[in-house]
Amino acid sequence: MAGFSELIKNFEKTRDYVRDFFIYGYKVRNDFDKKSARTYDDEKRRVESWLGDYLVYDDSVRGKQVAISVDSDKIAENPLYQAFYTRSFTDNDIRLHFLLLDIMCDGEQYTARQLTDMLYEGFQFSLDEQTVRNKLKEYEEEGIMLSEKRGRSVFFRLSGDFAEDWLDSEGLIDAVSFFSETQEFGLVGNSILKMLGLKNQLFFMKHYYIVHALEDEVMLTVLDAMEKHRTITIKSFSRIREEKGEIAAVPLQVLSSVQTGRRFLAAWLPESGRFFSFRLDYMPMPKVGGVFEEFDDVMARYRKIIKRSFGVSLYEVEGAEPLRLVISADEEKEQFIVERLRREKRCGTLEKTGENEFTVTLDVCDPNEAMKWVKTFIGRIKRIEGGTEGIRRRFYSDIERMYQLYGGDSDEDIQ
Amino acid sequence: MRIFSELYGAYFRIVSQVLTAHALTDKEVRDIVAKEGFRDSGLFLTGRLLPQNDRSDWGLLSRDKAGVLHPVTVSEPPHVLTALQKRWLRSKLADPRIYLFLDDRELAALCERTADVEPLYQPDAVRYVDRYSDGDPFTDPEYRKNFRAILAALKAKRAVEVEFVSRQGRRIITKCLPYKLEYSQRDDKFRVFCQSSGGRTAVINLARVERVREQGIGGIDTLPRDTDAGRCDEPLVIKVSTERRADERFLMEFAAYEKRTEREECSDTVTVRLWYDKKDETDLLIRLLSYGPVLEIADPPDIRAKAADRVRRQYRMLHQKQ
Repeated sequence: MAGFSELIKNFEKTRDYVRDFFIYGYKVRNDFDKKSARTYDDEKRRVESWLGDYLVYDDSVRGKQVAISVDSDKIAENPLYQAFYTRSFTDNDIRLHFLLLDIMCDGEQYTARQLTDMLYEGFQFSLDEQTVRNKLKEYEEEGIMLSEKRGRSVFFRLSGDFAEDWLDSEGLIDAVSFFSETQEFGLVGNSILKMLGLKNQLFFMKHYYIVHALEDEVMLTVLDAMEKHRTITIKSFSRIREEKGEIAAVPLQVLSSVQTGRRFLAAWLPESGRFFSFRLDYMPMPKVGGVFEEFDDVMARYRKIIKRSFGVSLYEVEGAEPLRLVISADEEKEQFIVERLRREKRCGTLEKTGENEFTVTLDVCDPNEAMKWVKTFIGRIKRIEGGTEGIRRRFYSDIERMYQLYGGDSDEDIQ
Repeated sequence: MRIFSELYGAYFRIVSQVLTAHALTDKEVRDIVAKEGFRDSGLFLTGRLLPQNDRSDWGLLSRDKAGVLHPVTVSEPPHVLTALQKRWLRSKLADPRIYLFLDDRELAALCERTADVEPLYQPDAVRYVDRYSDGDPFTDPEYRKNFRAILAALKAKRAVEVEFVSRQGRRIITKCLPYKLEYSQRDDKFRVFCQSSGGRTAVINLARVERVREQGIGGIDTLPRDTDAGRCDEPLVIKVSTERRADERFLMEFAAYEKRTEREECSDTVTVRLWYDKKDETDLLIRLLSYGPVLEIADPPDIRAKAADRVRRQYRMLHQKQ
């Protein structure tokens, strides 16, 4: 397949483009300046081919904008999964795949030599034995084949785990349909459904960050390293995504925000001896290293600090006191506010501190992280106490700026 | 073990479907490619599937004298689950939501089947830092029973009588036709969208349902539903500054919404037009205000006025103005 292909070998580069088309939407050709214009054109054409129905084009002063526009509440299948179904392969790969399955679906065991002969005799497909053996080993790693050593020979047979047998009940198909649209590797569930010609048509997701699917490859590697207590080496990227070198980290937990859509990897940095949260969507594929011997000790320390983290911050802000948020709510008519406080508070307590007055006290390591949530109560905040002086000062300053932004006391914005 | 693998790829899936047929025409092959492939797949894939004189095809189909195509293979390609897929299924056994779909016998059978399979991830590998704490009781027997009754009615397009307690504490009995089940990742709750007689839509939190009774087919007119019925009349127009990286944070947080964005030349502001469901307006408003002064609701005027009113109340509260 010379020239342009709609299939790709490496997901990393494509991941950046798909994310930028989806998240930003306002970028024009010149904004993709990390690669050549030709690369942009090829990537755009591929995305058009995979996700054509979801692409929108706008002419702005700066140029033509391409965006992926999706109302996630109204789709039953994450369209970004399509990007994962695009891996390129060689002509031999696909031919060998289907011919091997055809020979081996009799359930018998064969050596690589026998299969090489059968491919030639049955299909006039001539390959060297090593190529066939490599493919069999690859498929063994993927779980499609099983092997057994008898004397000096290795025999391979097809795994008997057929999707139709496993998904033998309506309930299980429903479960796979549901989980295929949830955060934790829903893509894998989608691949099972597709294998059987099925599609989720029952479950719709609200507050659904479909873009997380693009991180699944990285997340799989990270979780595997976590499970095995291994270190990873991450190419560190700044927020404007300029390469900054490499950093060794011990992955501890994935921290996922279902309100902001951001996902982080909580990790221990052995070189600097501190905890750190990496944005998963910025993280390139890490390299997995050796076992980190002090994993259990670090994990025990992490468990203590994460209990006091309002979000993903893992360091103790010096001099910070517990943050107290005093809220005004009518006890009779505005119970929904009290319910909100009860449901949404984290690392803290809620108490009634006066007539129509409720106080949430948050004992968190970094009170600044709670301020975005605090501001969802704008219009009801009687006062803020504790935290740090800087946090309180910024809050008062923010309200002052918002007051000016929305016209102060003038009636301009009152209908 | 890879996720990005040709084994799950669209081309492998299409070829598997083609080889499942015993005899096909060229048009049937093209139709499968068009239906299952990407927009341009026909350009790249069809020539590899159909036998070519120069043998540039994959040699998986042969043509008989009548011009009909036949797979060179004997059996239908088997659908063998990969280790990744089995490990994913194994992980789901630790998720309490699995109880909604499987009865105890099915759960036991799946446990037995996956006994030797390592989970893909452990339940505590991912922490949802800001998920609400009052999620639905997925393992509660009554909740499971009601969930299944509604799911069964949804699949069979059958009406049900639902008894539930409203947010205001009123007990309500309604006969309705469920047409959509929605799960919120943030709230950790299911809601069912139903059509009641007269075509009205009711949205019921599953956790508030006390009883579901089958009603059989009919009884509710299945009027065509306007899927855009709850959609806002005009989009919100929002100006987000780059200060505190608000633009990036905003675009990520509101990625789930249909929107159009534009950055003006030499400007540190992104203008966003965002479409939303009217029932989410208050939720949206408080989320927008949480950005503080780095985000401004510019339009429509009534939403801007609501924002201004809250800000004014807040300002007065802090400065004790009456």
